[in-house]
Amino acid sequence: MRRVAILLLALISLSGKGIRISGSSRTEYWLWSDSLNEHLEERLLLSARYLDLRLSTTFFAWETTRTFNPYRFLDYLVEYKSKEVEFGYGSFYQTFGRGLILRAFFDEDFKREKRLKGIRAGLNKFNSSLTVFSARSRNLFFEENKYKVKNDTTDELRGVNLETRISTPYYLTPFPDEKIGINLGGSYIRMNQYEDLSKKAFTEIFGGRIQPMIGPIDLYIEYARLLGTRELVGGRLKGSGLYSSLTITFPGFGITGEYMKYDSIGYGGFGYRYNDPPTPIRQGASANRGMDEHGYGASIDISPLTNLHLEGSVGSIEDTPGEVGAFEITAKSKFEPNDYWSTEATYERHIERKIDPTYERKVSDRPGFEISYSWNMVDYLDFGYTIDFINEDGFKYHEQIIELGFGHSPNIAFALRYTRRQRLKFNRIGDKELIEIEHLGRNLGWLIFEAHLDLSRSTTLRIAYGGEKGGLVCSGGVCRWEEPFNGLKAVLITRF
Amino acid sequence: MSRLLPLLLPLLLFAQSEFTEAPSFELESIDGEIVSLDSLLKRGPVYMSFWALWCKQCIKELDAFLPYYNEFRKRGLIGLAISEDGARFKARVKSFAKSHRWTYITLYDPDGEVKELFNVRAIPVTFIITQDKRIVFEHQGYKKGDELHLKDTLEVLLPEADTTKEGGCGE
Repeated sequence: MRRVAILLLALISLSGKGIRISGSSRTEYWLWSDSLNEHLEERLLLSARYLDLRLSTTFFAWETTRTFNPYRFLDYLVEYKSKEVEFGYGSFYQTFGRGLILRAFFDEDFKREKRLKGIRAGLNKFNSSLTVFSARSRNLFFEENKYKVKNDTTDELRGVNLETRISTPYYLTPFPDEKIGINLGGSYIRMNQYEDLSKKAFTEIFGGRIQPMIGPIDLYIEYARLLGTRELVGGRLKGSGLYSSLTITFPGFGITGEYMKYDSIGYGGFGYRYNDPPTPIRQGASANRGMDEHGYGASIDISPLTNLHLEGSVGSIEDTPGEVGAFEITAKSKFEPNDYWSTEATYERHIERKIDPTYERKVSDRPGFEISYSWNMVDYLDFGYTIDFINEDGFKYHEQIIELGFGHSPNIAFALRYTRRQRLKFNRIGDKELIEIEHLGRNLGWLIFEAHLDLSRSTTLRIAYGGEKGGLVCSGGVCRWEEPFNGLKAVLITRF
Repeated sequence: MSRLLPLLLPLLLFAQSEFTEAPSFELESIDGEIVSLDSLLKRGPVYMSFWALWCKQCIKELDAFLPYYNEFRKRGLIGLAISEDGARFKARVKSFAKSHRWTYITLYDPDGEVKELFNVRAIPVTFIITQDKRIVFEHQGYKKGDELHLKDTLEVLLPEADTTKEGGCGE
């Protein structure tokens, strides 16, 4: 805490000496109405820039009355970045390609952070970029209302990435307004696991990618190979992964297809990964995060009229025996007959097999609609309704969500949301019933009021009071249970 | 818990100061070009909005402002739609942006580097940057009608139509 205060004072005092200071703060507070437990979380970002030099710091603190173990850290990055050269020491995020080989990132909404700490250098010249780094990772994850570091922080990653762009002059292309170009890339990562019981263990993952873009056609193919050591038992582990996508676009029209096949490509350890093999499921579910899975996805987006937009998608991923997997279909139409009215109709179908331990197979059909009306282009009303027909291993029930919103542009919005579940799973047997009740409680209805207020042009406050159902939430192939919540949540965001 | 409070109070006071200068950055566009803010600013002021495929309000804002943007382009405004989708969504971002007939230059920011440079913590966030790199407008969130506030700001900022000049990259 003292170090942060000193840093704050130092940065403020330097702000008048040609050094530009900026930053942001996000403060989150929860109060459980039944137990009066509290959750307080602060993530403060401060940055000082002077010419091509930059110092960025992140201070994070989380405290809760539900546990005696608060979590805090202070990260920093000192960086020199000119047009051609960059060099940095400290904490940073990095993705190579589409994440098949490396993806270190931060998802603030999902409360998940994979941050690298070490040295990074880069060179940008001749339409090419070269990046090298040596770092240790920290995979911070929020589950069961607690922050946890998931990975073995002694793991050391060293990597290199080279990307180059080759473009054809426009007068040589058959498409008058489009270019022909090829992006090429290659990456290598070596991971040392000091805690691995097998001798001299390390894992190498490497691969290449090619992306030809010919007018409206954009093809992407990435292949990765993993050479590792089997955990605990030792012995050589070999894996491979293929990800490809094809996108074709015209004004008002876009279609994308994806195919992926992964075999022992996920690397890290139990419960964590340093790469992030893409999943075609929009909800974020995967079968086993790159260990043994294959899938496909397709989506189409069309705007036949300027005020009508149609979307559709299908996605599937499963392991090789076909026991674990997810499938989804989504369709959406959005129509705005004039400036005052807008309507949206949606349909989603999700099929999950063993994604969640509480069921073998779950089928969810979810039609919904939303209508928005503004009578003066300043105030508006929203109404939305969704019904979710669920079939879990033959046990059928439905959930309904009704939402009512009011907003006044540009700085006030309110919403009231009521979720109603048809019934509890009393006719389930054994542990499954217990698990479900433990996770979702015995409530059948959840009402929540939300307010969004812009306090100034750079400060917003969001307040929610009421009940949240909880349930399985997924992002990037990782899922977590969110416990039911009843009480107050407030988030204050400021930029400066 | 109480030890955090002394930190938060001065922070909030400090937070009232204005962030006025835009940092430089380079990002890849959905057409495979490297786009630099500094070079765009040599051609005209920039409207910049952070969005993602999962963010309904972001898409509503970009759709709602599009007819006004198409008018302001003639006065030299350049529009940037910066996608905060992760690397795995890159293929869909292009399809989505083109199908919506966006004339903004759509850029990928898969690691959130530019988002962090601009201290953006929740999207949508919109900025207007003048040619001398000053941020003269910023707004978080989108509510129906916000596009009119943006339009009013641009009416004051931009000179009357000069048909010889047009922003954007011909998307």
